[in-house]
Amino acid sequence: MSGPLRPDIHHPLIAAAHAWSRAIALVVLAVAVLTLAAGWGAGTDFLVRGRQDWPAMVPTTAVSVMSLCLSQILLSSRRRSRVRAGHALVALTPLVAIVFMRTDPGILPVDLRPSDRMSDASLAAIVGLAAAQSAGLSRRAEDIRLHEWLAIPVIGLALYGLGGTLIDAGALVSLPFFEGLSVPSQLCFLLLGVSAIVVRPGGTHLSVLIDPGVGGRFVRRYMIWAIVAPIVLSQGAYLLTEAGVIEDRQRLVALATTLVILCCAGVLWAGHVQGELAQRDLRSREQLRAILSGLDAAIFVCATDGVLTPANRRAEEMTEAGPLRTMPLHAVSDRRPLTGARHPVERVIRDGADITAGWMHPDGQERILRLSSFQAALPDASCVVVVTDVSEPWHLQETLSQAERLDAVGQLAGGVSHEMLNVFGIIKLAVGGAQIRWPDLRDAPFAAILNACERGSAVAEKLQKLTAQPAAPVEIDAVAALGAAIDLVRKAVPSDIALHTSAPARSLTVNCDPVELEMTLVNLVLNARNALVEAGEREGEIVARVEERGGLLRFEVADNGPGIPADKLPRVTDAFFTTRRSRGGTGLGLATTAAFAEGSDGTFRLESTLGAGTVAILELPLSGGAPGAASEPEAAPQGLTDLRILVVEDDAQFQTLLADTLVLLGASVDRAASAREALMLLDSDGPFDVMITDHVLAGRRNGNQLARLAVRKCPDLSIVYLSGFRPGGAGSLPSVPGLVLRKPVTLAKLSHTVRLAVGAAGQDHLMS
Amino acid sequence: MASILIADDDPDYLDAFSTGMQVFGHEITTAQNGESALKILSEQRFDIVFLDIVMRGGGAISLIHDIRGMLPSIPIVVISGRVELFETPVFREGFRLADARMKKSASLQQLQSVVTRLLI
Repeated sequence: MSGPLRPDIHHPLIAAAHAWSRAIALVVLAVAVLTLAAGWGAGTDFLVRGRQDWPAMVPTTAVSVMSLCLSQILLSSRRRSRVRAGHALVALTPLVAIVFMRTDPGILPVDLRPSDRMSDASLAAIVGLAAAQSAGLSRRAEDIRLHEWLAIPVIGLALYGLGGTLIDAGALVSLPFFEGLSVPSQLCFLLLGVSAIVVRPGGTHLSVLIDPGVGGRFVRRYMIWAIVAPIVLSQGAYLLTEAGVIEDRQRLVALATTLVILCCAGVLWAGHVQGELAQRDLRSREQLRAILSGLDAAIFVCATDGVLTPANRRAEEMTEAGPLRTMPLHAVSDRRPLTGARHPVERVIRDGADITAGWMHPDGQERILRLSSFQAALPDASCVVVVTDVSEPWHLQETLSQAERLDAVGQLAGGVSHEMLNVFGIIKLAVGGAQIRWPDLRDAPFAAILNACERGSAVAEKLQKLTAQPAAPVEIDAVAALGAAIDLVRKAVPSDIALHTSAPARSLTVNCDPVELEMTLVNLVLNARNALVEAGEREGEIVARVEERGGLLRFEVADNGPGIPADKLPRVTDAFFTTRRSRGGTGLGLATTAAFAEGSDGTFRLESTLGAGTVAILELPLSGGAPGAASEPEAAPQGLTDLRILVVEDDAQFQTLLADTLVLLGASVDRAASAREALMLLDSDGPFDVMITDHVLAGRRNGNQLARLAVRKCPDLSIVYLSGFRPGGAGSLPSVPGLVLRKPVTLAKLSHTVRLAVGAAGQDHLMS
Repeated sequence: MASILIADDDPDYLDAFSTGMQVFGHEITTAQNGESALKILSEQRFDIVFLDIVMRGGGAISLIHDIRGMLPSIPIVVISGRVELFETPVFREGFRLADARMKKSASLQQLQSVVTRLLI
């Protein structure tokens, strides 16, 4: 035990202490009452002195003992009045004892012998016990264990008396100090001494007697032998000499030898037990460490003297370069170094609030760490500090806001390209009409105008396809897809890098999202280009290949760049792992490629040899279908009759399409282009069963914020979110729960989603 | 020569379409929204209908259904400036009843060939 325990009534040791001290005091009280009433009162000689030739416990001693028992019980009470009464008793008892120690009450049925008197030892014991009980009341005295120091001599005195009486009572009482000390008194003093110590067990040695733990059980089991064995040994040795079996000097030698053997055995055994306990302790520590090492967080234990000790492997790795307190951490916002009192470790220990800080990992990447601490009920520890690497969610959050902006740009581009296509259509129609009407004007620059329109429409269409929502997987020709991707990317590859393709003459069909496949291939070629350009490779070469291998469709993009170190290779497909963050890399490219491969039942990996280059390998399952065919027959949609639906979508065309489709399915539909309009409709045209809203809306509020307000207005409204984000991609969870309807939206998916949202799966299949 | 109804909410496009198709000798009637298109269809006989799928006020898909209910055999061509929508499942489902789909950027010759194909 390190320090005194504060009187916390719920602590098991404190609770046990109160119970034990009270129980002991009650037993002693019973002995004293019995001596006084049944012994002195009823004249039972045995009760007052035990053996005929032993001194008796005189009434004054018995009364004093009773008084001390009562004070012991009262002082451990929680009621103020009782404690006060206890104080009075403690103060009075020694005074009464001194005044009446030589008084014969003269009214007793048992005659007092001349030797029956209160001994000086008893008076000393009573004074000592009273002092010990008082000392236990003061916090300061308790801290230095004054009550134990005062009670131990009383216990020693009682033990000496007991031993002396058992071995040679006559010899004992011949000492003037012990003259008249009775066995019942000795027992009472012994027990009261123990009681006075254990009532305030904090820090005392004797308190292990009442400890409910292993130590307490051990002491309670073997203490009796420690008392009995020496007495029996001494008495036996004495009797043997008396009987003339051994002589005096031999007895001394035998006794000493036996005692030495016993003590040595005891020490050896104690050492053995301690070793075993330490082993067990070590094992459990190792076990705990092994368990903690499974955690991603680094855990440190902060000792009461402020020293931080790593408690798991992650923590050891983190402090390889130096202790946590001096770890170079910086502010996340402006990267200014945080040192001294502003060091996050100091602050988290001091304030306890979570702190986020940046750290440059030895591998050169910036990590975002979150530090938190909590008070732990651990021995010698003031708190536990937990350091978690939150780089991923942190970057995710940053990238998400960027993705949202890009999404808005994409929508805008989609709208603009639509307008452009209309304009080109009008020009083409007008020119076409003029061409036919005035055939003799053939030389007029009509052809040039039509050509320009053709080019313009092609660009606008490309833009539209690029900004389009992900399409449903279809059968596409992989050879053509690679060709299209290479066409797109060729302009982005510098002329000093050779870009070759290799593809079979026949078509290879694969079932996936055509836009995503094209983007993935573009991405792989751009990665190879970046590797070559950044390495300053003079004779850079990229080979993009598609082939059938082992029943799989295999795309390969190989470069002869510097290659990737083996230790970084397994991490390159992790989201946000990038070696190019300083040059604008988000670390999402290869992660997206891996996600696309997984989503299309394929695999993606990189193979690299340092100095020789890198090969990116994307393998997808071949499909037997003809290019252009939809992958699966459409499931039958459900009817949505009897439902009132509010469609909120700022893209007018998509809104129309979606709303019309819902009408076709039998629903009654209202349309809104912004959150403001939607809220007005909820007020004027409600109630609605479902609100289908886009995540991204033009205007002040997005879909999520709209949903929050809408549900506050109409608590029964079910929400369906429209989202253009890819499945499996990370998106922040909406604060109002709702199903997410990812584009592309099929009729069946739309109808089933809406039905699921209102919680009633309709049985009637529509669209007959 | 055919009599054609075109419904589109872009007056410029309507104008260019009418002028261009008239060159081929077709008789063109225009409507700027779905409601008036339905009204005109109930009063007059047409050989073919061109519909912009996304008009202000909505209802293109139900408009097709209404037209089909009224005139089961009239050829319907949907036109759209949103080529990317052509590939979406909702579009494919919603416009199953249409006989042809055209991009808004189609040339006069392409429009003429659709008319010829559907009427012969």
